[in-house]
Amino acid sequence: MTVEQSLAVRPLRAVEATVQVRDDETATLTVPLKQSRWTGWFFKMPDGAHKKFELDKLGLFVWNHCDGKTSVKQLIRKLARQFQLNERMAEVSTIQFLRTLGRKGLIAMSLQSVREQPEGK
Amino acid sequence: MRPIVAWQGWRLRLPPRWGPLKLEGDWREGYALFADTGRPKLGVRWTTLKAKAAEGAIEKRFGQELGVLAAQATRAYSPPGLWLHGRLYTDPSPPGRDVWLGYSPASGRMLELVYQVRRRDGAMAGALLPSLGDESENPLLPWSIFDFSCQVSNPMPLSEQRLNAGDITLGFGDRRRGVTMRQISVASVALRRMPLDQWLAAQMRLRKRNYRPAGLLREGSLAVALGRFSGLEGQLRRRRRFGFMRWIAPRLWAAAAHDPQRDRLYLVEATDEQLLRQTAATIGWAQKVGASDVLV
Repeated sequence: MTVEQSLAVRPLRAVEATVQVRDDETATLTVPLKQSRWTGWFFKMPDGAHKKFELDKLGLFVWNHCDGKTSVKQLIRKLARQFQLNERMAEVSTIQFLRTLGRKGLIAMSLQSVREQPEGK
Repeated sequence: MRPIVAWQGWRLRLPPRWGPLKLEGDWREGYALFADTGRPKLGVRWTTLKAKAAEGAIEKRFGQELGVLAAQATRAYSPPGLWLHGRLYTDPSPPGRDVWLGYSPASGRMLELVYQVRRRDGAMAGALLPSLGDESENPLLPWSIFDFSCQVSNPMPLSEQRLNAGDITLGFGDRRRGVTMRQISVASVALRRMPLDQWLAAQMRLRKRNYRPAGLLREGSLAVALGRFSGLEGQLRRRRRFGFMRWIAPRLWAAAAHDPQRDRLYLVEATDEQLLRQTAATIGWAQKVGASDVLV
């Protein structure tokens, strides 16, 4: 995948999370935990078990734009404009944050726009 | 408005979407690469040369960069200001590279600009080169990278650079006489994580090997190019066991302030108070100049 293509993917929220926004524009993300197949043999997860993630102002902005419609490139530009950042700086921090969200299984990437492009372009 | 990039004596106006990808070298020679979110756009290389060797070196460099045939297709072009032997190669069939080479007698350096051109847009001759300048003879050397800018008394070489996303540090001079400036963005997020006094204390702790705090932090204000902002000040004193090290300044002054307009934190540390105030007063000069061509 080229750099252009990786910036064209659209992050999408992969979990049903509850977002609790506070007055200071920070938020708590509450994600229900699911019992995985193998651990279920040994442990019984209590009903309503959940995991919490704290998001700051920038994190909340990125999370809100993980809607499957906004591409990574658009997200970077919006973030840079909103917080008066250089696009290069916004790019580095946004991609790092999206990687973290992806690793935690909170978002997935929609490759629709990439697949639409013909091969070799 | 195209922001100013000023580094090691030269300055340029670049499109707002371009940012530095690589900054290497020192005042004598080095390389900078600028890119947008997709691909590299502009390379800048500078090399110190003797004036009489400049013309031959430019010709040779064109040969290395483009090949002998393309090097013959260059034309004389010197941007405004004192540039000697300026030559420009415009790629006849993009995508390719537009290359400009010239010699600045002000700094005794040959400068090379390589613009990655995708379609014929005239950006090199129309926008990039007219904004090129060499400020090496300026008593205050301008520096501007990302959205951080300052001016430092000349000569005071760059000794430290840390360009993390949202946390930029530039240090100048040596341990006897030097200044370090740090800009943190977004300040409202940074201050929620840690109050201003802890930011300043953390900055001062970086010197704890050689220095100890002299007194408590006190309230003060810091004047930068964009205004005066309230903040905190503190001092450090060289530890007694390093008293024989005369090459280390006996005291360090440190100050921190929050700029609510730009939502930035400024942390400045210097070996004397006057240097701290003078240098801090130039922070943000490029943002103040904005679209005009006049340096502060």
